Amino acid sequence: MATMEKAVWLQDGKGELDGLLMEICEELQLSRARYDLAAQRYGSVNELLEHPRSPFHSFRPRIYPQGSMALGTTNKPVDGPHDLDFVLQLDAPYWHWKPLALLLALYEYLKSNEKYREMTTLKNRVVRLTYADDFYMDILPAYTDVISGGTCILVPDRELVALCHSNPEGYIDWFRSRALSVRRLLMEKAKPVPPQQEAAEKEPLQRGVQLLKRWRDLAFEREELAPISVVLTTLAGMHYRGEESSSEALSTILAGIVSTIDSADLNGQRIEVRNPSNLLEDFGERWDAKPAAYIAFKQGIRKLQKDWSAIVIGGRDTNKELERLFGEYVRKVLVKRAQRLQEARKAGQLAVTSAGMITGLGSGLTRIPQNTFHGDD
Amino acid sequence: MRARYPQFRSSTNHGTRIVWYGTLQPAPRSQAYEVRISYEVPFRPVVRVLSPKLQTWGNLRKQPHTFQDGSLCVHQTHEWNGNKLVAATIVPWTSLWLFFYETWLDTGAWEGEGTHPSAPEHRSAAV
Repeated sequence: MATMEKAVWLQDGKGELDGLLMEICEELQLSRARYDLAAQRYGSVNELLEHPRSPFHSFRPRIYPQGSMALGTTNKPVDGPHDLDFVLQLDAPYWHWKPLALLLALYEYLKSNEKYREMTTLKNRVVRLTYADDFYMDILPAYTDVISGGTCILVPDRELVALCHSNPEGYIDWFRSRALSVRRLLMEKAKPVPPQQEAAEKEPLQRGVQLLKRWRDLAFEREELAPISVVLTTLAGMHYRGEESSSEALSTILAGIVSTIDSADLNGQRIEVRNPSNLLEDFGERWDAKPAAYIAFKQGIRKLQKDWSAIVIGGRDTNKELERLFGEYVRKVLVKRAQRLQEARKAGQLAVTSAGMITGLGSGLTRIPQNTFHGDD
Repeated sequence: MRARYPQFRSSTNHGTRIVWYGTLQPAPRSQAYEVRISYEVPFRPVVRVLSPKLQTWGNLRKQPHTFQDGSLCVHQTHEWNGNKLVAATIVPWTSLWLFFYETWLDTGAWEGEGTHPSAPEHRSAAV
C-alpha cells in the first residue's frame, strides 16, 4: 500500500488531522527494540514447547500469537508492563481428560524448567511468564475444537472448571479482513510473530484501535471500569466501513458504537460484543458481573464521540483537545511537525498561498524569503 | 498586494502611508487571523494581529518576537528595506509567525528560532 509520508506542509484540514493521527500512532507504537525482544522471547518459549521431550510434543502443538501483536494494534502501556499473548493449541482428546489438566500440565512444565521457574504464574486461563523488564507473556493452552471445526478451540478456565469456546485465529482473520480494502496488499500472517509494521503502513482500522485503546488508558481512572481491549477492537472492527482516512474511520466507528448502545438501551439491554468468528463467545459478558463498568463505558464512549466530532469540525482548541484525549504524545508530534517546517524554511523550500497558507514551492505562490524573528532588544 | 492576496484591502492616508487589512490562515486547521499592516515611508511596516486576540500561556505576558506595543517582529533590521515588496516579505513572514505562534500556544515551545533564544517565551522544546 502507499505508505503515508510525513507531510511538511499540509493540503487540507482532514489531511492535516490524518497526518497528526498517524504520527500519534507512531509515538504509541512499541519501540522496535521492545517489539523485537518480545519476538525473540516468544521464539525461545516456542522452542521449549515444541521440544521432543515436551509433554505436548505428540499432540501436534501449534503456537501462534493472538492479541494486539497479532492484530498490529499494540500500544506502549501508559504505565506498567506490556505483554505478548499467544496460544498453544493441541490436537488432543480433551473429552477424556479433566478440564484443567492441560492448563496445569503447561504450568508444571514451565515450573520445572530452570530458566522459567521463577517467572511462571498460573492465571485463570493462561500461564504467565513475567520478565524482569516490564514485559510478560501469556500462554493460552487450548484444544482443537473438533466438533465446532475450523479454527475454533476449547480453553480451560479455572474459575468455571470447564472448557470454554474461543477462536482467536478466526478473530485475527476477521479483523484483517475488516481492516483491508480490496486495493491493499495482504499483511503477513502470524506465526511466528509478524514483523512490526511502521505506523505509516498501518491500516486506518488498526490506527483507530490504537487510538481507542489509548483513550481508554487515559480516560478511565479505575481500571476495573475500563472496557477491555478485545471489546474495543471488536466494536471498531464491526463498525469500520473501509474509510481510508483515519479521522473518518474513527468518526464512523464511534457513531456506530453509540448507535448500537442507543438501540440496546431502548430495549433495556446491554450491547453484545460477540466474537465474529465464534458467536458463542461474547466479549461483553464481563459487564454482566460489573454493571458499573458498562455504565462507565457508555458514558465514556458517548463523550468521546462528542469530543471527537468537535475535533473533526476544527477550531483553535482542537489540538489541546487531542492532547486531552490521547496524551502527551500529541504535544511531541506537534513540536516535531513545527521542527520539520522550520527545517524546510531554513532550506528555502516554503511558500505561501494567496490565503497565507504555508506550503511548498510552486507557481503562483509567494516564496518565503529567509528571515529572523526578532523583537525588542 | 491584492494580486497576491485578493482578500487584502487597503486604505491610504496622506499619500506616504498605506494600511492593509487582510486575513491569513497559516495551516489548514489554523484559525484565520485578521492582520493589519501599516507602512509609512521611511519606517518599517508595522504588523498587528487584530483578531482573534493573541493569547499567552502560563505567566508569560507576551508572545515570542513581538514588540512592547504588541506588534509582531518578523525580521531583523538588515533583512528588510524599502526596495522590498511588503507582499513578498512581510506577509509570508507573518504567516510563518502565526504558524509558530499556534504551535507555541499548543505546546509551549517556539520552534521558529529567532533572536534571544534563551528568553523564557522563546524556548524551543527539548524533544
